[in-house]
Amino acid sequence: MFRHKFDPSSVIAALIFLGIAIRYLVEGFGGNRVPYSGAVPSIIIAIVLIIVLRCAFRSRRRHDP
Amino acid sequence: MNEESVPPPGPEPASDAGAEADPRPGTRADAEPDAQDDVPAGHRRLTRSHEGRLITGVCAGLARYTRIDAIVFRVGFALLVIATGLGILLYIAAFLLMGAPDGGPSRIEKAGKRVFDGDTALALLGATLAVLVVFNIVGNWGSGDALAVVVVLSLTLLVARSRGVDLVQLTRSLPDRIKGRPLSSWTPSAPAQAAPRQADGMIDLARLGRRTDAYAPGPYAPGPSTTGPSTTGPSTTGPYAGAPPAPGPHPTPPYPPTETDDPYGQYPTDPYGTNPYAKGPYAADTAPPYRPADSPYLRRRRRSYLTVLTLLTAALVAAVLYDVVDDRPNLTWLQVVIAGALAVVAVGLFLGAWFGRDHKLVLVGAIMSFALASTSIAGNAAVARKTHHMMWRPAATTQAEQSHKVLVGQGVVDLTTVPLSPGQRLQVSAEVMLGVLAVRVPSTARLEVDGHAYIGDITVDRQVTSGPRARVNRVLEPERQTPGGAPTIVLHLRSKVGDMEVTRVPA
Repeated sequence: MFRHKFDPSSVIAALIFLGIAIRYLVEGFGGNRVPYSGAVPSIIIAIVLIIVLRCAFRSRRRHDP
Repeated sequence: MNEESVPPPGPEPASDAGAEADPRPGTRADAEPDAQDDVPAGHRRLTRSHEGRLITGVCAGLARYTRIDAIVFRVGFALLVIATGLGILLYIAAFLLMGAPDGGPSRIEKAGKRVFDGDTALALLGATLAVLVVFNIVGNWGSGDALAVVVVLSLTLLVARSRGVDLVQLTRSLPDRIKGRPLSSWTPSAPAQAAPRQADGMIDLARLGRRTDAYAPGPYAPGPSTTGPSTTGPSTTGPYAGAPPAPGPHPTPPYPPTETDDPYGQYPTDPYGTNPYAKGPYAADTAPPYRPADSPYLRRRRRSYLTVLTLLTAALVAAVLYDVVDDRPNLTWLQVVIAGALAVVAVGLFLGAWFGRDHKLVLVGAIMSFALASTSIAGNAAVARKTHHMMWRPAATTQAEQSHKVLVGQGVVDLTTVPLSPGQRLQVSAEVMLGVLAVRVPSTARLEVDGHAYIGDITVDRQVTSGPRARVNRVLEPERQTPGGAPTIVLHLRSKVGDMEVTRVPA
């Protein structure tokens, strides 16, 4: 079905980005700014998580036969 | 399985009804006789269990499948329910996903007309838990509830890993696994056979072992194929001990580790240490087809336009959103525009997970996320005070005419303390890179404002000018005339990312 090997890190990154986008869209259309206290640490942690998973799956792919 | 070789089971001291009514938490469900114990690992199914159940047998079924005490699952579900209510959703998902206690297909399998093996069902449950946790903790970092669900998920992953589950490989194979097998190909397994018991009710381990040891050669081997000699040499036990390999039809191991049985290659193959392609009397008739390995150097990469198309779509969406929300103040227009584009990038990553070629999209998404975070930082006075707070209160015109720069944070230039003589002209410049800049001027002075904000708002005497590259050129006359002419303050204000505000303070 898929000619490419499934990459879960892309799905996780997509989920995280989608969550961030939805949060900002909701607040933005409501005329509010997303508060710093909740948003910025969440985004930083999310980006770190994405990078870690990306590296993990990329390195695994390298060792795949 | 060769059931004829099994000695007749002993008396059954406990009835099924009694077992179903057993509400004891933490009952070792794996003590229950399980027909699936005799099934190859690749074909075991995850089913609910009546034995030791409390509600619907979900936890008991999980315990029987994983051979972990049911109380562990009950505590995990209870923790998730108490913390965020996720446990209820997860329990419902498990109920729908797990097969019936009699081995029948689950509701999801009936609806999708596909049958999953147990590992796939368990992996789907784990994925459901992970997705629920992610959605629960988005925007809720740091709370106790979020910490609880993250701990449960982390422990689940750690336990799975400690039990030999290759999480990465399992996740990769999930798209293939969820295709499952057609429901029409599924046949009900043999009914569960109770463990043989002795007269005093104790399980007869000797008979149980003879019955379930599929690989044991000898007269009690469950299959006719296992009674034959090994292909690697003479048998060392049983009636064929020391006998040379006999010619004849190729013997079949009890569970030949074929690709069909183990499509994901996660179980140890070749339990006899045999090689199906070995030479000798049992060698395969035909050699396996030669399949050259793909060379990483010669592998061709087809061009993909996924990233380009995604970025073009994101730009298009951003342009449309900008046109819609252009008039919104306080940088909310900017966060809507970036968030819309980020949503498109997320969709591109979804596609890229299956079709590949999502190069650079993660990088683009990360940059956009940081840009969104910067909109939360910019203009937030509380944040600015946390990071950097500059206050200028010049007592002389020479001090006031110095440059006032704020790199990150909040800066306040208070010009009400500057002694100004009638007709005097004062040039003040102030700049902020990221943050907030506030300028306070006396209302008795004539004010000339030249403001330019790259991203951010400019507020002059309660009049807001928004937008990228906002420009303000205003002249405010003094509120009351002074003899000899009012002094003039010329403000040059610049901002990269952040808001600027000019306030007139009555004398």
